[in-house]
Amino acid sequence: MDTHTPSQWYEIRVQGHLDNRWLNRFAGLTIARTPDGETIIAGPVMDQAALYGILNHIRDLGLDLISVQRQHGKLAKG
Amino acid sequence: MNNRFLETKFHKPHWRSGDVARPPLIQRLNDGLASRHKLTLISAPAGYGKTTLMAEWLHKLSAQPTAVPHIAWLSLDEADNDPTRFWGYWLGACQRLDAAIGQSAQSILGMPQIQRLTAVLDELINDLTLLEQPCILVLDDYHVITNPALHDALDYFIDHQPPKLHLALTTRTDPPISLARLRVRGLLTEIRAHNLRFTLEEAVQFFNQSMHLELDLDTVTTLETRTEGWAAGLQLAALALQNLPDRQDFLAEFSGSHRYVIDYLLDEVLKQQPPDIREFLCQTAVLPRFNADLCQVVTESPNAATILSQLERANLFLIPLDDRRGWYRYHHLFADVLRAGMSPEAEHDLRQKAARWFTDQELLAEAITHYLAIADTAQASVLIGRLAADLLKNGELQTLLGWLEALPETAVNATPDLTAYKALCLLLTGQIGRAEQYAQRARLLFEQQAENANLGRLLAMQAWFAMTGVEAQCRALAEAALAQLEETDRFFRAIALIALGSDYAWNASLPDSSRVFQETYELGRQMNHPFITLGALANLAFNLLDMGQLRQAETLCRAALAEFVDHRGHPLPVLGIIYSPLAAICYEQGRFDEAQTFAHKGIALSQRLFSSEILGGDSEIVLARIAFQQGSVAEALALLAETAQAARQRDVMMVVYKTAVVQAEIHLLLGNLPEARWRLDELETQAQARLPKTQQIFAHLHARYWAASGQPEKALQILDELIAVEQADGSLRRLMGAAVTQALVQQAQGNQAQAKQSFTLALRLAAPEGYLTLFLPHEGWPTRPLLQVSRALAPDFVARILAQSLRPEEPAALMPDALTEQEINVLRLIVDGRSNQDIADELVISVGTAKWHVHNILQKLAVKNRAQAIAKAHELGLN
Repeated sequence: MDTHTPSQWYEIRVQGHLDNRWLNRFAGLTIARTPDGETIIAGPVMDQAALYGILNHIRDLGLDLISVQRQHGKLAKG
Repeated sequence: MNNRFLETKFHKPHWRSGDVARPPLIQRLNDGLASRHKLTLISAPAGYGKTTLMAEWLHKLSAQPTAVPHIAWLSLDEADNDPTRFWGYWLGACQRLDAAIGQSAQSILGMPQIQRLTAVLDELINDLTLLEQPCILVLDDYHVITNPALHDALDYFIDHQPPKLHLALTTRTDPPISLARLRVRGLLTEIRAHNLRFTLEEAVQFFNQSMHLELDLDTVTTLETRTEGWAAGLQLAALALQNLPDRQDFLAEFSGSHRYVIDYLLDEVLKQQPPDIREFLCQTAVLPRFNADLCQVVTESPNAATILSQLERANLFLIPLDDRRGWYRYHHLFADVLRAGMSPEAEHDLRQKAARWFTDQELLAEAITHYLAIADTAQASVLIGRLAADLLKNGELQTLLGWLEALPETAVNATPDLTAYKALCLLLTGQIGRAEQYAQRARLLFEQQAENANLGRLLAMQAWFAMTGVEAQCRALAEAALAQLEETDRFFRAIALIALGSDYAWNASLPDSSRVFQETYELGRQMNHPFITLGALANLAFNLLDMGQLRQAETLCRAALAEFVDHRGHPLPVLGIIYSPLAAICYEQGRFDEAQTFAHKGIALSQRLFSSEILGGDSEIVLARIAFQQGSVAEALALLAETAQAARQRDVMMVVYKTAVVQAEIHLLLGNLPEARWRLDELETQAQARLPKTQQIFAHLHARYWAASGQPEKALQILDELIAVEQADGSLRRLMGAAVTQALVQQAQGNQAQAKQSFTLALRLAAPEGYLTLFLPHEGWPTRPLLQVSRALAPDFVARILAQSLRPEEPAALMPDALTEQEINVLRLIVDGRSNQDIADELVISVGTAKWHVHNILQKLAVKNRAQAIAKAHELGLN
């Protein structure tokens, strides 16, 4: 079934600089840090359930969520 | 069930007097309690000190000089998304408030066929209303609950919350319940992240008094600003500062850094720990709970116990889960950070060791969780297979199904047992379509094996479903199941036996049926399973009634009534299973008032507790028969039509069949031959008509039809054969009915001697057992002359029948003059079957006014419900 639903590209911004140790937890996503103290977690997300899984994880870390954006131009290849 | 509880889940965390006290928040919580708020909600992200605040509050409440509430604590985890487990623990927590609570709810928890979760809740709420002292029930970490059914149930519970109980939740996210409504109605105490942030004064108190760090105000201000008063951040900062020679450097760097507070501070804290402690922390962080033994195995460090007590002393986020310092866990956030840096290979290795240890300790559920986390399908499959039978028996279907769904499809398909368990779980959770696929696959897999317990279980379930559909293969399936099932597999043996016993009963093999139900009854007793015990008992009672042993049937049911009560003497809800046979027994004895009471109770209970498949229709039929006996023909027919309609909608064809039989009987007694003919034709087309028991009922109806349409010879011929068959079967109740019909036909022919002989046969069987109603004379059933000539045979019994038949009728109500014109309008709409809303719309009045009119009409007509009002309106000629 998952071969028919292409992943969507998401960019999630949180407050604070996350270390690379979290890469395992956000598997398949990249972690980038902005100069003004935010972290951007970005990459292909399989579906809404996966997205909420990531958001829950951010919640569980007590991180401040700034924004969640879907990038229409950057469709991941299935 | 009790021995299956993890006691650590009920452990209330201690509040240590060294912790920072938070008087304003405690005041707020106390105010809420004093204002009788229903719910306290502490909702904030991880690390804000939710649980600590709750612990402080409970600690201070317990230290009050008076009015100390009883307190129960329940720590939730992901596995509690299984409703049976969730309510099991909830009941367990309530039983810690008052050991007497929840017996009744417990008795129906995990009962098969229960679809309404609120049934368990209703019982629990009922029990909790009896609480005499104020109580607080804390649900810690409610955010792990994701099952929508449980959110709905919590909402329902809050709506019906008993006054003495206060509910308190800690959660990282707001639960999807009607918080807004509680807020508006002033029933909610809410503590959120902004309330929990440490103020500067609290931060000072924390660093300088609790942690003895003697920091100046500037330093505290810096730390408070950088952590934004976040408790976890402050605590890590304090740990980092404890052994630091140069605090100024640390502070400057920390406040200038953008790094996530936890990342930064944890690195600082860990840097200060000796390498073996650091290693230990990282390795044990994969464990949701641990003791020294387990740590020793996982870390291969011989002094795990010493390290644990060091960690506890150093305040390194170690939380004891019991009073004996046996089990611990880390603060979730701390564990999460420690685990984040771990490589998948290392985690795999650690979890594998943990899983082996849990397996050795027979703590299989935890072992399974670890194996599933590292995708060790082979080991997980083996353990799931070992635990499945227990989970199935306890009704923890969601847990089992969750594990099976977590396994790859190929793993399930490779193991016949797992395929069968998946089929059973799906069947029992009502996912029939998917269940069928797995059942078929399992049958194919089993064909290659000679013997298998799960084949037996599958066959038992299929027999059960064949029974509810009255399908012909029911007996073959049940017998095959019993041949396969081990003696020890009692639950599934009971399922197969109930199917087999029912099949025998429908095939008019009453002694065989009773033997099977007797065995089921004993099995239910051994298993201490009230649902099976009483289910078997109800079937036995119906069989005894059919076999002419009314007294024995009554004795059995009444003994159960006295036995299945909770310690307060209140009937357990599962007793509802025997209200239907009791109603039928009282009806036969002519005790109509009591029969009505049991029938109403039985109906109310089956609506509350059971899914539609259990709807037997027996109580409704008793009520209709009584209405008919008391002269309310229209009410009787309306009730039967309603019941048949409901049964048809739910596809319970056996009930449709039973109601059609009674409808035909009534029309025959009224002399409505075309109506009766139509019912008989309808009955003949139904599949159930081919069963021996229904054939006997059908033959009797036919005989009465021929007698009423002027063909007594045809009738008598049928009755002769029927009586012989019923004599051979031992179906004595039906034989009595046939013999009375025979006597009435012979009486009508003028053949008094034969009529008396037939009547004697029936009376001899009926009198000692008290089957009275069968003989009650009325129009269309002229038994009075025969009763008078046979009086000597059973003088007392006949006297009772005649006395009952002479009971004065209720004085026929004339058009009640008190009914206003508007009320007559409303009554006409009631007769049309319109709802209160419809009536309101039609007459341009409010629904409240419509209800008020309906209420007045029922009172003035001296009737209890709309069906009776309709019947009364017909009697009054109001159309």
